[in-house]
Order: sequence, then C-alpha cells, then structure tokens
Amino acid sequence: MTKLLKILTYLVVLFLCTIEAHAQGNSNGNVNGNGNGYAFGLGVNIPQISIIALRSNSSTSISLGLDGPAEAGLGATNTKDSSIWVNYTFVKGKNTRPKAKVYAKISSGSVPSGMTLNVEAKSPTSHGKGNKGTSTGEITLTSTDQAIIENIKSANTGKGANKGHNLVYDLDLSSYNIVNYTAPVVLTITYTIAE
Amino acid sequence: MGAFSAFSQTSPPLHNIATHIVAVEIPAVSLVNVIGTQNVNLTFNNPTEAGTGLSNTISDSSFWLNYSFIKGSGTRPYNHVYAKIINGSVPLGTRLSVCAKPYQGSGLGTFGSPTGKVLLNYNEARVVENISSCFTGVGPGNGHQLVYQLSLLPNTYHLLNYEESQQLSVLYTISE
Repeated sequence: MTKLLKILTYLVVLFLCTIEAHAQGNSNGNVNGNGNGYAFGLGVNIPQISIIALRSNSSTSISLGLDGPAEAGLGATNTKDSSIWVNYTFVKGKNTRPKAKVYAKISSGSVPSGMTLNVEAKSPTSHGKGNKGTSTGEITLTSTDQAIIENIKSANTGKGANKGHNLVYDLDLSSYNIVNYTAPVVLTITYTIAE
Repeated sequence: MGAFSAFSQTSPPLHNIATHIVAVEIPAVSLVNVIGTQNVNLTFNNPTEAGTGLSNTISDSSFWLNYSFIKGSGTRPYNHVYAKIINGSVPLGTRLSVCAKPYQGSGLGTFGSPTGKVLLNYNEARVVENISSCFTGVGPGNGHQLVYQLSLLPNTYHLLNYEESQQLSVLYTISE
C-alpha cells in the first residue's frame, strides 16, 4: 500500500513538472519585466444574468370572463386564474444593480369597458436559492410597466410550474352596468425583470 | 502573457422579457327564471255567513324573478321581461294580474324598472323594462318579487262557476 502511494506521488510530481515546463516554454509575457518569467492568470467571472419565464402546467394562454350559459341571476363566473407561475434567475451587481424588480404591463390589446384586469404575484415558493423578491400586492394592469415583484437580489426560483411566484389574475367587473358582450378580446401581458 | 480565464465574460442575456396571452370573453347573455318554493294556488276566501260573497281579491307573493343580461352597446342596449299565459285560461268573472316589485338582492348592474300591475292573458305583457347589463342574484330574495292577484270582475258575479277552476302556466321571456 505504501509502495502504491509512493508511485502515485511520483506520478503527480512528474505531471506538475511537465505543466510548468510547458508554461515556461510558451510564455513571452512576464511579471517582472525581464522576459523570462511566466504568468499563469486565473480569471473568475460571474455573468450578469436577468432571465424571466412564465410557466404553467398546461398552456400559458388563459381565458377570463363569463362562462356561458350561466343560470339566470348569476353574473360572471370565470373571473380568476392562478395557473401561471413566474420563474426568474438574477445575479446582482453590488454597485451597478443591487436589486431587480419584475414589471408587468399590457403590451397589446385593451381591457373591455366596465372591467379592470388585476394581477398579484404571491410570495415565492421555497424552491431555488438566494434572495427572491417580494410581492408588491395586487396591481391593475395598464399599458405602462408596474412593479409586481421587488427587492430581488441574486437568486433563482427554480424552473417550472408551482415554483417561483404564482400569478393570480382577477377580472374585476365592478362597473357591470356598462359591460357589453363582445368577441373575445386578446391581451398580451409582458413581464420584464430589470433594475 | 499566458493568462487565461476559467470563464469568459458573457453578454447580458436577452431573456429578461416574457409574455403570455389573456383572453377576455363576454358572451351575449339573456336568461330569466322564476323562483318559488311551490306552485301558486289562488283561491277566493269562502264567505262565512250566508248572504255575503267571495272576497274580491286574493294574492300571492311567493315567486321571484331572476335574470342575467349582457347588453351589446350598438345592437341591444336594453332588454325587457314579458309574461303571458301559455296554458289554461282565467275563469270567467275573474282576472289575473301580476306586479313586479322594485329590485332587491345581491346582484350587480343596472336592473329593470317594474311596469306596475299588468293583466295576464295570451298576449305578452311587459312586466319589467329597460334592463341593462346586470345580474339579479339567484333564488328568493333576489330580483323582483312577483305579486299575483286574482280579482273578481265587477258586475260579472253571475258568471262564476266553481267547475272552472284552472291550472295555468305563465311564461316569462327576456328579450328586446
């Protein structure tokens, strides 16, 4: 056993000597300026990352409104959805971008008259690592970016549905008297992770 | 210089945006229902003393009108509720009316206005009018309480015939 260890030690020393000789033979630069030194730098870089995704157990296209036909006397019966999840990965820059937020907006289409489309990001699940963000509460979606999650530091949420922040959509028809029937209105909701 | 990097610096990823679709669907809705606990049975009170007649009127308030309506801004801004008899006939010497009371309940929107007491026959009579997008709520206590009234017609007492007791069906329709 001792003999085997000795053999292995010799082999390692021999290997290191080979590397050193190779480095010397190929280095023209030096650290002391006399032309016969060598440098063996090791750069360790952490990439700048801001990635966001929306995930669901099925499709991320959802439908809200009135399920028809309903019973006489009933109003809207399909006004909530909580099937979409926000996943993100973010690496902060301590001085340049210490924190990030997730913003949401309606990037195409308009909410029909008599209603508002609200969304709330719930608290993150325990999946992933780091300092995940906190919810800003329910917001009413418009065509302007609004923060829905804030104070994200270097973190990842885990990938997939049921990980990260659950999005709860609520179609509010409080001005019911001015609601008109209409062909389905298609809205595109855009989520952005940024400082 | 023989320096190297274990990791090369990457450009910021371009995946900081994600989108999805939300479809908002509001179909045309016109639904009406009459909710009650049992069939109405309108029977004139028997006289208790010889020489007196039947009571002039008898009424029932056990039914409620529920409806749901979604208007089309340009195509059908309002709807109305109509009532008519579709089976049986009111006995001779009497008349049957219905009156919708003002809305009450847990619904939302712009409810209709009662038209007051209307006589029921085989022609549609408007009971509630100018309904805009709304829902009344479901069940007794929601919508418009219906007051049925059976009355003796003046000067027709001689036409009363107890064999003419009738089972009537009243149809309610919500439409323009």
